[in-house]
Amino acid sequence: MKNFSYLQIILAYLFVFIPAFPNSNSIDFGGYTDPSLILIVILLATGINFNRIIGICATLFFYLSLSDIVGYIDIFSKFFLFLSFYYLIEKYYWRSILNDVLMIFSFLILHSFLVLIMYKSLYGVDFFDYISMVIIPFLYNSLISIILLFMIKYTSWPHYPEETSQY
Amino acid sequence: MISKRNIKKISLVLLILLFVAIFFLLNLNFIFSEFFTSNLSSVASNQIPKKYANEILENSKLNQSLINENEELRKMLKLEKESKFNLIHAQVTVKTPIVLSAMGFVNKGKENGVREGYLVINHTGLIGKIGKVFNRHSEIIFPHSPRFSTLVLVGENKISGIFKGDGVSSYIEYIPVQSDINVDDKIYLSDNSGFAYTSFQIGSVESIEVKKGFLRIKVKGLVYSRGAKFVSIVKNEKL
Repeated sequence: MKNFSYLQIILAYLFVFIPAFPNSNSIDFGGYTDPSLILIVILLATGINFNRIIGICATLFFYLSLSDIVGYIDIFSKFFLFLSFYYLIEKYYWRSILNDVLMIFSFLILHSFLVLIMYKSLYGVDFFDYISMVIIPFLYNSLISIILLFMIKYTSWPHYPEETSQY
Repeated sequence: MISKRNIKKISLVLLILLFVAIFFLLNLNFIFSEFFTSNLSSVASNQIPKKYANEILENSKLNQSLINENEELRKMLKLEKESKFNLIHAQVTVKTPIVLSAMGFVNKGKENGVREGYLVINHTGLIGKIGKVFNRHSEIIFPHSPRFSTLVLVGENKISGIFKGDGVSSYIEYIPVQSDINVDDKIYLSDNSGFAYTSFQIGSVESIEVKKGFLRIKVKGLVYSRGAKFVSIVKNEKL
């Protein structure tokens, strides 16, 4: 499991909270990214423990408090997929770069598909309307998730132990 | 003794907290605005001589974002003068971060005369409709929400229909099949408050299809509601 530094935890909090404000276009790319979705896939890829589950639940609850019936559908889909992926990762997953990238794509595609099914059954949305609405957020979410995955999990600053004197 | 590394960490955390505090103060101005404005106005009137106050005002340079905001507010004032609407001006303070969700909050509520069902517009078009109203803030429902519906007039003959959302996009429904409506016909707001609404265009007809014995019209040229910052709530005393 990848441990996060204090700075990364603070940035994660900011990434979750700031998009709720209308002046945050430079962080959520004009409202086209969903920070909770990105947080879930990053945590799935870097490893899950109890504290991280609490963090995900708190994020989803915060977003639910700012949302309506449409938000319930979206958050149900995220939570259901998170539990399913968590189970599959614990049981059968082999961690590698390629598998992590495929896992992120499959999570985002399945989330969009699950929301489409629920929208279709509840509101009868048109398939092409839905695709045109979610295609840009899907691209942004997947690109940002993969970039963050590489930044957090597969690269790190060179770390040298502090030495008081060298001879 | 604190090590250099810990000093760096602490200073970094303090710096970030400072930025966060500034950001929240600027964004939550609907809570603090009355407090700040009342104190600032008393300071300006009592302690600073008029001569210096004028100099400060003359010398201060507005940055580009303030100029843009001013421009937007000017357009809203123009809208109020040119239309016959009775408007309550407000600022969007919080929007839902979920992409498909269609909700936001404005900094005006019951105390400012806002009521449930009032329409929300800006100088570019229709932003949404007021949902739940609280004492000092209200909820906006954007047009693509399944909870949104309002009366509109379509085309030169002003045929009325219901403009509603389906969770992803917005359509006009319940227009009789025999109605004379063409692609690119203009769509205007309509409501029970009189003539003023019929001059406010919200979009135009993109495509027409027949569904369940009625026309179903797709609308183009709608405003991207999630990006709105300053809005005007249209007072409608008949609601």
